[in-house]
Amino acid sequence: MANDLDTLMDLDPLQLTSDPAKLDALIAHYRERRAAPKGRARKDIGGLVVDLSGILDGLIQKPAAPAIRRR
Amino acid sequence: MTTPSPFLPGTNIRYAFDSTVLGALKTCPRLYQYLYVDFWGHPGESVHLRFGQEYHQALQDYDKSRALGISHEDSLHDVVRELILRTSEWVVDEDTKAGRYKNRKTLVQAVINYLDEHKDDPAQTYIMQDGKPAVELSFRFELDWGPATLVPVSWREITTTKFEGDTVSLSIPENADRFVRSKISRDTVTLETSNVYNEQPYLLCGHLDRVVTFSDNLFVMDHKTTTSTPGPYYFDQWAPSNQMTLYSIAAQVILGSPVKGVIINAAQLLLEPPYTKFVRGMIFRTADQQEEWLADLRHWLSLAEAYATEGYFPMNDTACDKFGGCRFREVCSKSPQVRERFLESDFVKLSEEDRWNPLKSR
Repeated sequence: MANDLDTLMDLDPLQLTSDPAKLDALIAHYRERRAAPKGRARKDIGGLVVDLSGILDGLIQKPAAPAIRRR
Repeated sequence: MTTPSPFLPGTNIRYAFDSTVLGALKTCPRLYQYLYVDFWGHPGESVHLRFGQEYHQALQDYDKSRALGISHEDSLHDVVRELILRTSEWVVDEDTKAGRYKNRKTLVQAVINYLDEHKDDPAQTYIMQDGKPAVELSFRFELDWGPATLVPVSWREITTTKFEGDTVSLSIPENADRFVRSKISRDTVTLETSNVYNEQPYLLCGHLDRVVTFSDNLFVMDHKTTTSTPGPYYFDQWAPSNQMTLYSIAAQVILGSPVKGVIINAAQLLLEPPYTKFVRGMIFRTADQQEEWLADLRHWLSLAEAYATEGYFPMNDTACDKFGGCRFREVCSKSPQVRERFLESDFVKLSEEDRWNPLKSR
């Protein structure tokens, strides 16, 4: 996108700062970026990206309540 | 305009101090010598220093703008514009840990995040009696004492007396230690000296970001950026604190009103959304604590003068592991005979413009 954050930051500073619309777009991008959800835990293993967050959730899962024994 | 030297002429006796230089002196006299007498350092700009300076400047620009009644959005827009222009040539190696956290993009993000989160801040900029906002307050105070030492001067006349017959009575002014030479003409004797007792008092220098009113009290507000989590232990480092006590004293002198303490805004820099986390802590200073700090200061400055006069700055070998490890630890671990060689291989003597000088105007 012509107006994505990196593109805007790479513009000539005078060009960027003399165009209020572009500066507004830049500020809006930074605000969107701030509000983005955090990335899931990922690990690159030999080129295969493995999503670890589900595994971690399982590890910290509480054990099931013990069955009540009939006397 | 040339910045004056912070040393008495022809000596290594410093008369101008700020919290940075005092902090080094209190940590280790040898560290103080290497950094602020011999000026060993690394050439080029520190990414931490630049990031901190730009972050402070942006927030100060915003405070001044809001104090003029300009809206949050317009002030933020102006601040970001100026920040981008000021940092246009700033190149950071983002392959280093410091560069990943502190670069142009993270700087702009941190500034926008802080200003948005604090746009309705209950801590309001204090308006001084002259109507100006208490923002960007540089200070330079004279203490009522200075180094008690002789300083070399150009040959100067200290007294000329006429002969009365074959005799002459001479009195030597108090600030001249001794005359070194005399000039005798037909009817006068002139005494000249090349040493006088110092008359320059100590100067305490520094820069306050902002003074605010909060809960009907005045506080200095200071900003810190960190990559670690600013929990309760983070704020413990500021009590007691050389810097915060000096700030609270300085604010009282500038404003002529009691100041409760310092509000520290800690900005933790993150590599994922929301990219910053802000935590605020308060450091209080009583009048007794300030008096104690000033009393201690007299002793510290006497020590600095004594070290410089003797030409020897002892090593505090219990401070080497503080603050992540002293940068001169490798050097100090070597035998004294070879230390200079390691200093020269690992560091450079900084040029005049790169040297830290409390008298340099911001």
